[in-house]
Amino acid sequence: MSTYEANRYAFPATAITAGTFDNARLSSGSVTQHVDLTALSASNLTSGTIPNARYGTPTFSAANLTSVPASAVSTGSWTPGISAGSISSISGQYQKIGQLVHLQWEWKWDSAPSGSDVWYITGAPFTSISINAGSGGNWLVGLGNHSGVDGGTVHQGYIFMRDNSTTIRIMRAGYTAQRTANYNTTSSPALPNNKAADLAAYSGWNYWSFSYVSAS
Amino acid sequence: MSKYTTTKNEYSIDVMRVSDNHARGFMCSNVFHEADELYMDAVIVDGKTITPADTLPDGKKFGDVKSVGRGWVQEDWNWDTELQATFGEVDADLKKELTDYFTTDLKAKYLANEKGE
Repeated sequence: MSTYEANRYAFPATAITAGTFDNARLSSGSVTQHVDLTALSASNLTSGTIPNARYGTPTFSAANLTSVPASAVSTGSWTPGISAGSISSISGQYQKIGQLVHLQWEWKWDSAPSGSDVWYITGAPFTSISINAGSGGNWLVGLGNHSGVDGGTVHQGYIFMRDNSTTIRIMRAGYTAQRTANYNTTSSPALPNNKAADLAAYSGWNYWSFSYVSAS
Repeated sequence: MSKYTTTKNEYSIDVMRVSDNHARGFMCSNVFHEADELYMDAVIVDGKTITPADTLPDGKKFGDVKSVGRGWVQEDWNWDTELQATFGEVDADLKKELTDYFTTDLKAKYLANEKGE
């Protein structure tokens, strides 16, 4: 082998002191094999999006979140309606965190309901979850607060909401509880119109709060 | 529909106004159980008459049947009334979405569900 040929094949890398290799001259294997990716600095990530699967749960603290998707948390207003009687000065607010919905609302009675049909509140802002629970019926049971009966004092008692529904019913104070499936008929402890009339007594203002689980 | 967002459920649609998150869930129809109406005495709370007593015909007493109830009743909502009361307007696109989704078949299934069938 001539001297030229010998030097050509033993050309030292240290002799390359300037210039830039064309990309086509570097195989992908040459890069991935010789770059220490385990020591890759986060500062080198200057573009692109890290896939969700690359986030490890133990190392991803919610405390570092500066915002969460609007679909997960929302706050707003709603307009309750009633099945009988008439009301005005209606105001309702909700806070929704995931599927947990908390409602607050108030109104002033203009005329009391009458008759013995079950009295109910309509228009909850989010349909309740679809479940298979309760005795003979799929009912959600939540504690609620309301004012207006027995001297207009604040009461805490059972408020019922069936699954797949936006309708809210009230348990009649002082009555023995029955299977939940009965709570939309008049032969039950559900508050009837002529007892809901008590809610319209005194100042005529009612204040309510209720929490439930929504479908989505 | 950019003004409102809707979420369709088994028997209802949840509607939210984008501008202020004002929301309401609309059931496909109004279902309730209508009982017999009885002659009722006055409802008096702490001396204040909330509802006056019915006038009793001859031979009737409080607790007697005044009119026979229809049992389970299903009524369509008046969407113009409901949307106006809720959002202060009747959006034609929203109204169409509600009426298109709440079919006769869906309403029948809802009634059966309410009756526990």
